[in-house]
This record gives sequence, structure tokens and C-alpha cells, in this order.
Amino acid sequence: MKKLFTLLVLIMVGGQSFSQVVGKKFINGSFNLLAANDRLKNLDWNNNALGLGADIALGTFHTEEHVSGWLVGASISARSDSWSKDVYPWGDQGNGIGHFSFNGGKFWQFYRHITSHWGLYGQHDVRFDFSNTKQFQNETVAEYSRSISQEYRIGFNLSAGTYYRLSDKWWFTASLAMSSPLYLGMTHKKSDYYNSSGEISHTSKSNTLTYQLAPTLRLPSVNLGITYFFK
Amino acid sequence: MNKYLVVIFVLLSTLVHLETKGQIEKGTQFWGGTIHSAGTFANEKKSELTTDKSNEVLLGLKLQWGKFMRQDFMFGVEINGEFDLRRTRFDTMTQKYNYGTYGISPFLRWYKMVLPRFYVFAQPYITAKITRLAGSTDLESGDGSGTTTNNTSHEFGAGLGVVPGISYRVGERFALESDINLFGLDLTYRNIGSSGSSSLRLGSYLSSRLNSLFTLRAAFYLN
Repeated sequence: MKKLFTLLVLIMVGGQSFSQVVGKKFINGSFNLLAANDRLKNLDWNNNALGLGADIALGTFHTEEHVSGWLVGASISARSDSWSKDVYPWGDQGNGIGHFSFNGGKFWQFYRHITSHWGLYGQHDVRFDFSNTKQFQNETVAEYSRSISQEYRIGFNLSAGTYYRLSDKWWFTASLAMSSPLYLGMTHKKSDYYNSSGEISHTSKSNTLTYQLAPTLRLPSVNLGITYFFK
Repeated sequence: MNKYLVVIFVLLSTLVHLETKGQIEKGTQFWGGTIHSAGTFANEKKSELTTDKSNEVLLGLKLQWGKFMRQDFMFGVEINGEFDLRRTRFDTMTQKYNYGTYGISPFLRWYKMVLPRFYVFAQPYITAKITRLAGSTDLESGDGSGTTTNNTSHEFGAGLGVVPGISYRVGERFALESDINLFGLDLTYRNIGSSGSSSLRLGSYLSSRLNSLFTLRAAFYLN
């Protein structure tokens, strides 16, 4: 009789119990790397671009289905451009790191374990983002502007994904859809306008407040990650 | 093995396996709606003396009501509005721009359940809308007097089309829906009031690629 009950229970929860995840902490990491080289032979133009980004999430299974935790992320992008020698009036100032960002926040996940090896999850999070961008732009042939902007943003985000369980310790994850239905941002931008002799002719400063409320889903946006469970 | 635990498991598994009914019954009432909004408020200090200001607010609203005339077949009406308000202030000039469009669109909808809780539907519709564009420019001259230029135009459009969509029942009565832009057909007549010009356009599209943006609609099925 006892065996029968055990068997019944095992069948009903999908072959294998997930009760072992309850109370466990995990770390999930995903990263992206972009390296691109663009050439225009007839114009003798050669551009190298490099982008790096990483996101780390620390979570705890409170029940078999509910997770909450914290996330942090950062990204950086840099470039070098062969025209910086003699074509652009700003010279090689545009080479190097043009953009970097940090983010952090709290997330909540809800899991639906379909078999003992894979399942689906939904996530919502509240995240704070900071990004810094440097840009150069031609105003006339010999004049240019240099703009540095900082953006602070707080947003509510939704994502859904799937996981595959390699072992008790290691899972693969892939997030499948993402949405930012709500955000509020503040951008501070300072632009210096340089004249043809390379001196600042004038400076402008701007502050921009933006908000968005949009119940839209973005597809496809696949982000692969790896989860490791702590003891 | 605790017997109570087993009883709880049995009860839970019956709950899990309880699926919502496949068909949507005749007489069911439908309410659906979506809202989107975006705004930008900027000021730019160009020098010690001049500051430019520009504000923009966008707002879109859609409300749908329907009634199931037969099983899995609905007649419905959508009313929608979209507004775009802009204010730009330069040195001695203020530009205002107001855009508003109001539409009404009766439609029919056939549902088919493909998976438990998950429906697809086809929706033929006719639509009529009126758009009002109003712009004005205020110019201040040095002595404090000013001139204002206004221009307003109306545009009338009518069309018909067909759009497929998906509906996912989150709960007993609540569903999340989205129209899918895989294919469509629409016929639009536009009359730009101020210039007296009109145009007739027949458009169709077919795509194997899902549009990357889906607008979600909150929907209620009440019976």
C-alpha cells in the first residue's frame, strides 16, 4: 500500500519531485560579446567595434515554483576607426570606450516544471539603470560637437523563459520574450561645440525626462544563461 | 507515508487537470482594452541667455465590447483614440501641435481553441476614423507684440480588413490577447479636408516573420 501511494505521488508530480529545490540558492549568469569589423575598401575605412555585457542574478527558491532575488549587470562598448587619423575633425577622440552602463534590481520568478528536466518560467523585475554615452558629430565640415550624456532610468520589466536541467547543480536557461511596460528616465546631456580651430565656441546643456507605459511584448530576444545551485 | 499528504496531492492534481471549457458559450459578453502612453519633457540651455523647451505627450486608448451570437462567434465594436500633443519653445517662437484621431470599428470574430486555454481567432472588421491636426506658431517680436499663425486640418478615413489574433485564458474570465500581423488586408479611403484631396488605397501583406512588437490587450469573458 505504501509503495502504491509513493508511486501515485511520483506520477502526479511529473515523475520527479522538485521539493529538493526549495530553500536552495542559485546564481545565474549570462553574458554577451560582440566583436565586429567593418570595412569599406574603396573609402579606406576600417572600423572595429567591441561590446561586452554580463548579467548576474542571485535567487532563492521559496517554494517549488516561486523565486525571488537580486540582479546586477554591466555593459561596455568600444570602437576604433581608421578615419580618426585624418577624416574626422575630432581626430582620435572618438576611439575607445563610447558607452558603458550598470544596472541592478530585484526580481521575482514563477516556475512551471513540465518534466523532470525542463520547464518554463515567467519573471518580473524592478531595475535601476545608469548609462553613460559619448558621441561626436559633424556640425559643418570643419566644426563638430562632443556630447556626453548620462541616463538614469527606473523600469518595470517582464520576461519569460525556459530552463533545461543538466544536473541538480547546473541548469541552462533561455529567456524568450521581454517587455518593459513601464519606465521613467532622466537624461542629462552636455554638448560642447568646437569651431574649426578646435576651440569651444559654445556649450549646451539639456535635461530630459521621459516616461513610457506600453503593454507590448518584444520577440524574439533570446538570452542564454547558466544557473549554478549552491549547496 | 503521511496519508493526509496523499489526499492533498490528489486534490491538487485534480485542480491542475481541471481545464477551462473549450468552447465559448453563446451569450457571453466580452470586454477588452489597452492603453499606451509615452512622454518627453526636455529643456536645453544653449547659452546663458536662451533655453529651448520641448514637451511631448502621446496617449492611445482602445476599448472593445462584444457579445457571442453563437458558440465561438462574436460580434463586437471597438472605439479607439490616439492623441499626440507637442509644445516647443525656441528663443522667441512657440510652436504647438495637437493631433487627435478618433475611430470606431465594428468587427466579427471566430475563435478556435488549439490548446487548453489557448485560442486563435480571425477578425474581419470595418473601420471609420476622423483625424484632427491643429498647429499654431506664436512669434514674439522685439517690442513685445506677437503674431500667431494657425492651421487646422481634418482627415477622414474608412477601411476594411482582416486580422488574426491569439487569446490566452489566464483565469476563468480573464485573458490576455494580441493581434498578430502575419497577414492583413485593408482598404482605406482618406479625405484631407483642407486641401480637398482624397485617396483610395488597397493594401495587403503576408509575412512569415512575426512582428517583433505585440500589443497586449486585457480581455474579460463574462457569462
